[in-house]
Amino acid sequence: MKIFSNSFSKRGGWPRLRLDALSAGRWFREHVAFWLLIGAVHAVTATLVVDTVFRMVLHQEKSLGDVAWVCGGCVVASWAVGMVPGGWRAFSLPARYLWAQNMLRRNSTWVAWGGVLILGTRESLRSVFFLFPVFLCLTRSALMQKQQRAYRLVLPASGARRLFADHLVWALVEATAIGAWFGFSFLIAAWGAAMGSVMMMYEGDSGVPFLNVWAQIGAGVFCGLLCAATPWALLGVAYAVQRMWTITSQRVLSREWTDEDTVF
Amino acid sequence: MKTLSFENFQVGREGSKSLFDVHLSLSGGIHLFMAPNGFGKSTLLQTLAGMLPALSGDAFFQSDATSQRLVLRPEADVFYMPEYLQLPAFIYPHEWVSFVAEKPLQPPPSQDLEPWVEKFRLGPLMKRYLGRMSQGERRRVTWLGAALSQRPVLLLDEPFDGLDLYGIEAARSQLSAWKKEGRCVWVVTHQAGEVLDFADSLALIKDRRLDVSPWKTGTSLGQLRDLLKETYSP
Repeated sequence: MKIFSNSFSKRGGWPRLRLDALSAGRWFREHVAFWLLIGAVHAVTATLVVDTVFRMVLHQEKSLGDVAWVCGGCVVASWAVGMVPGGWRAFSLPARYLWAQNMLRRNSTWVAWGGVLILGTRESLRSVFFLFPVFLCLTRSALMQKQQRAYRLVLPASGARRLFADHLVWALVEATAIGAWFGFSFLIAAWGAAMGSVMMMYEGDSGVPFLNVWAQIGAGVFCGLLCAATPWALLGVAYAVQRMWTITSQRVLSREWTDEDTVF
Repeated sequence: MKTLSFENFQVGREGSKSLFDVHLSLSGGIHLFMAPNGFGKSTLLQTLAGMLPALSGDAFFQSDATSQRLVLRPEADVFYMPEYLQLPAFIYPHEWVSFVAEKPLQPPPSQDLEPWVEKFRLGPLMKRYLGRMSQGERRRVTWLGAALSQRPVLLLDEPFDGLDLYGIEAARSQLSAWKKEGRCVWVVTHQAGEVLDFADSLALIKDRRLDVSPWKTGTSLGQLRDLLKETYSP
């Protein structure tokens, strides 16, 4: 008896080949094309940031090519953060589901990116707004890669603690601190900004993720400026972090506690 | 009446000893095929589906009493539902169903699919890739494909795996419809209770032979258990 084709065998003739080609094309679109697109978006925003940092903070003129190389490295580094054990699984999910469905469909995303690009071209505003893309890239990719919502559902009692202790979040805190260092020029302000943004990060991804990013940026900038004005403000920020922890650690015990209004 | 018969048909993996010989002739209806794990049930189905070569012999198929008996052509006569469903990941259910039903690929919504989609409760899943479905959902899609396939011989390997109560109900109604149509359906399952009330025969492997056992439609699960114990007791 010969081996024949069948609906489940690999030898289904032209129709099977067509089906496999269709599947492979979609795989490419979902996995590769979207990651490349997002990488390009990250690289463009990061170029804006780094170029500003070189010119306004370090007073160095760099060619756009050099900056683009640095930004490519930043993008790869931010992805690499997600590739550490536990985070790599996110890459098996198509980017469309990680990003497009949560962010690109929101008008606020496009408005925000447009705002960054327009304000980024105004020299006087860049030093504040450069924080935005740092948060945008790192916060969203870190939080979404780790699927914070899943933490809540799978580990309701310890989800928030796990999230906070997670290496991705700490990597994000460090990145924020470095960003804040450039932005506010001294350490207290940097840590104030980092803690302020982490405080809002506790709010998490409860249905309005982009609003949360804005809230983090706002809290980070506000706390950073406050701490730049007086180092004692760091104590107030620390209290706010502890207060937010108290609120959210209760909230994550049950989804019914999820209420952005309370947090805001 | 459709009839499936065998001559010197030996089943086994290439390069190894034959697992068993097949000595039976089955007409249209639902045929239960049972044996303990590792006896080669799936190997037989894969051989009949053309995915493995038979070690020797041939399988024949006769579409009705007046027609000529011809060598079974898996690519034209057999629909096979495997135990482990490995479907292309980025394919929508309607595309896969069109493929197995040998129909041209049409964009949804396809009117002729609707009653079947409703029967297997697949409505909300039709816009989801197969790779993003649970095992039970994929099983329901394969049932949908089987229901739309026109092939006269259907080989179902553990077809109730992963199905919920509604899925089992729909599957049972489909088996019943096939029985009325006189299609030759082989069911390998350890959940025999789902088909006992309308199975037409029972085939068992014993002493390296697959043969039909004495059987009455409507045999109870307890009686079947006794029969299996008696057949396979050491």
